[in-house]
Amino acid sequence: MKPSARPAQTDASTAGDDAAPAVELLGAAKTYGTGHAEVHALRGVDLTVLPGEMVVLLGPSGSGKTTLLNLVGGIEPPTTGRVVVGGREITDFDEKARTTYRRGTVGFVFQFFNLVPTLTALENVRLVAELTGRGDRERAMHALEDVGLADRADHFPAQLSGGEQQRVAIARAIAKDPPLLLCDEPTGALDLETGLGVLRTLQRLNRAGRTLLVVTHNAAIAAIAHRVVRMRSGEIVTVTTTDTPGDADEVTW
Amino acid sequence: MTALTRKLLRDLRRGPAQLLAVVALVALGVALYGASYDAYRNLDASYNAIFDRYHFADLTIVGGDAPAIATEVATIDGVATVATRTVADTPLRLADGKTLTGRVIGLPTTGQPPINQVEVESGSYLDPSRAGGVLAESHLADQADLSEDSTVEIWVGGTWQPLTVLGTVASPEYLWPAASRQDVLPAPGTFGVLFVPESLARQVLGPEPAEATQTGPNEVTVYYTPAARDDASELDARLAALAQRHGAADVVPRDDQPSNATLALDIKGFEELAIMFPVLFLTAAGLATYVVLTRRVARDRAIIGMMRASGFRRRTVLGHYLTTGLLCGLAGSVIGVLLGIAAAGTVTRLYIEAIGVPLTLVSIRASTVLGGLAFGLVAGALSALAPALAASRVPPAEAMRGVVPSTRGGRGLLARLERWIPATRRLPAAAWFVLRGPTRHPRRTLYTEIGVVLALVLILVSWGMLDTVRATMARQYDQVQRQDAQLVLDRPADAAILDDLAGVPGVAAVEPITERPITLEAGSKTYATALLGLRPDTTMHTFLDPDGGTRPLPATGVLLGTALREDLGVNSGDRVSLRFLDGSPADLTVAGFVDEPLGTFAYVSLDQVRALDATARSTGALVRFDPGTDAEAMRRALTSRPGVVAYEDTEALRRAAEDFMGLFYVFVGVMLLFGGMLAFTVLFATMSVNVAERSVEIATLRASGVSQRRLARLVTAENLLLVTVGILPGLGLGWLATDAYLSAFNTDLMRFATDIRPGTFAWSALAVVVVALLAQLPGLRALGRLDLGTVVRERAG
Repeated sequence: MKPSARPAQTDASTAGDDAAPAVELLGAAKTYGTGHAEVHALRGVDLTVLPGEMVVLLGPSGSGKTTLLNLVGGIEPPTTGRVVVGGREITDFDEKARTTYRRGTVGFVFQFFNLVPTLTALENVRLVAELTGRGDRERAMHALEDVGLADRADHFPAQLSGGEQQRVAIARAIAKDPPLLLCDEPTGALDLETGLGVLRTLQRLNRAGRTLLVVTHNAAIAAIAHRVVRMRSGEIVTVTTTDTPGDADEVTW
Repeated sequence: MTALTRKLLRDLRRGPAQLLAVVALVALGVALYGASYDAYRNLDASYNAIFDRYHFADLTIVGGDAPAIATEVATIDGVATVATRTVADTPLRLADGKTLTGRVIGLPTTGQPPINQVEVESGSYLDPSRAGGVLAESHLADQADLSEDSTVEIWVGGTWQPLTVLGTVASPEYLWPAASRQDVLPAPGTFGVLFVPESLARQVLGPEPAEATQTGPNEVTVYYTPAARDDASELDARLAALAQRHGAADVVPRDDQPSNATLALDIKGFEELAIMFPVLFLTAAGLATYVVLTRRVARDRAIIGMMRASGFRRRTVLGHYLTTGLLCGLAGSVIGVLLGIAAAGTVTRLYIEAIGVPLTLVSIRASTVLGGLAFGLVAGALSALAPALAASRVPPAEAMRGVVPSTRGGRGLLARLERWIPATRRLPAAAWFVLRGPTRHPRRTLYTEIGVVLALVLILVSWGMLDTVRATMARQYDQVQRQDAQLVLDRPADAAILDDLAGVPGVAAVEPITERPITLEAGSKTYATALLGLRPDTTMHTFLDPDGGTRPLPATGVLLGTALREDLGVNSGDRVSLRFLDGSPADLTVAGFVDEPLGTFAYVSLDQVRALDATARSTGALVRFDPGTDAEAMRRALTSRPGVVAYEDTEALRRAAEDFMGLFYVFVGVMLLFGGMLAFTVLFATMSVNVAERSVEIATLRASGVSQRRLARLVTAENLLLVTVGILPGLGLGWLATDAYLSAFNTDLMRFATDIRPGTFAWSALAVVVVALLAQLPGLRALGRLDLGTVVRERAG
């Protein structure tokens, strides 16, 4: 692994400079509240993510990393600046268009899994996959196989460990086959062993060609990324790139 | 089935007790709607079917030149049939010697009359070959145990004439055996009807000195064509004017016929309930649905956020939660409709059986079924709308957050109180836990309060009606009517007979009374009632002023029942005309009004009666007994005195009135039960939600060493605080609701002045507190079952 650090303003990637960007943030800023209560969560960030890249966003609480993820995921629009995903500008999408965008383009993995407790693992996967017409049992099972949980398909969330629940959440995110996977603290609620299992799954998905944007405050996870973007106070502080990301099996914290 | 549908169905099974509470409330509301509305319509249909089958008169004309009236009425458009008959009241004596006020109604012996036919229930119809054969009306037959070949006697021409009962009959005129509109609560054993050959009825009627010219029929009955019946009031008025030109004393449209008017008033109660009950229960169901669903949406925020982040549209989320409300409404309304159908049939049959109506029509009406379903669905949908909209507005970013407790710190009344009164800061933390709890979700707190208020309204309306009816009876029989018995005499109540009666051991006082049927007239308005003549210094009757005081009987002028102020449009000092049954007119000045619970009469002094009609004489006596005398012994002693032909026991009247209320007491019991259920389900839903929502903080407190018992005490204190706050407005609104509900029954025949005992308020409040304590038990038990580790770890993230 050959890491190198450089200022955030330059945003090329080692994963393929000649490929069309999967994600582009151009001067993206997000401000919440007004007047005295105004909070600048993101201050004019530029970032480009190439297809097949795994980018880890690192930073303390309040650094703006989840806000950045929300902008890319179409959860909320930027206050200023532009967001372009897969060549489509989503900056000015209205609520309906953003919903359609989220449905077809991104898959989310959340820190607290957010599984529906009354649905089995398989049904949780199908719940979201059905939105894109990919909710048949075979595809959903395939997604569960991808995360190594085919044998737990009929278990309810309460019958699964935390790691298994997060892997079901990952299967749910990938079952609709989105080109972009957005993960918000995917190991945040997990112990080391189960967290590593989740990282292995994410790395395998990335190696299969999926673009991943992972938000974490766990610096150890940075080892498996193509690029590590460090943030503070709503700004990108540094971007570290590597040609050969480490293996998830070698990560520890 | 899609995974979303599966989620919906499985979510229904999460915390099913809360949803079941909602379903139960909807079911009760819809069932009560169906039961009361269909019972009302079944009874109405049954009565109408009887009226059609037995050609119940659309109009009855009393007095005047009956043959001439009949001839002229027959020529009027809209009149299908006209008949004449003779009706006369006379004392009636049973085989055991008991006497009662009898009424004989003339029938043709050759076959049924064209109007007001009778249903022969046992024995046979009148027979021309059996001159002394009569038919006993079914209520009389039941009370006096009369059957074919029984013997009764009637007072004719100064002697008792024995008659043989040929059969027992039911009549559309006496489905409810009311002697007159002013006498709608006849006591068993005080009034009875015999259908006799027309010739015998005429013999009973007269000729008497006062009505020497009247030997023919004295009533005309009129039956309309169906088209004319649809707009009867116009024809009624036309025929009334015609009849009055021929000297008729009274014209009684079908709606005012005593039996029909009483039953209509009674079944009106069902119609009122068909609105009031569903409104109360469906409002409660709506509140419970809102509370339960709001809690579910709050619980599911992260999942809703995930769904929205994953591309679920707002309307999908809206529909998802709205469907929960709709399914609760649907389940409740289907159960409610089925229960309502069963209950409507049962109520109708019980009611008709109790009254002794010869025909029962029970049917399932599509409109009621659809109405019930619609009520349930609308209640479910409306109450789910706000939580469902809130769910659809959950931002996708919620998926990124853990559970954030709602805070309203620093604002609101309590915060201000804390700032204004620094001493309150010294209150222990536990007190603030209790005080601040209800301020966390003001809307939910408000709805809990509304639930408490609704429950109290339902309980107080039931209990308050009971109190009011008892107070009304006490007012009538303890305050207004002071006599213990009323006697009918076969001779004028002169000093000799009054002295004789006063000499009977146990008799404390005796006074004469004159009672003459009259029609009061003021302008174009008329009112049929009785003119009661009493001594000006009477001790047998208290005249209650509408302002609450009492007043004496004036030497001149007439005291009118207060309903006549409006019905006739007269005031004190106005002149009012009256017409006796024989058509003779008179004028009187209105001296004032009296407020009496039962009936609307005209009271004058005995001297005034004699001034109005020189031939009038008292043939009645009012008797009061010494305290502690045996009523039955007094009846035997008084009826054995010469001249006494009929005896009416006030206590029996009171018992009859209370018996009449028997069904009502059952109904009140059911209402109280429902009130309790309503309180329980609403409070259960809100309180269990309160506990569930705070499981994290409660688990945290327990983890910090606070005992389960102490937490249960804190939660109980908070719930009691909520209930206590709702009690005062609940009692106030309960009083208003009782008043409004009872005022719907106020007519010229019966008036209820809302009178709720202070104890009833206290007991009602206590009942709600007890129900609330019971309703929180499941929630408190859930506290004990909390898995501290799981709750803290999973919910707090």
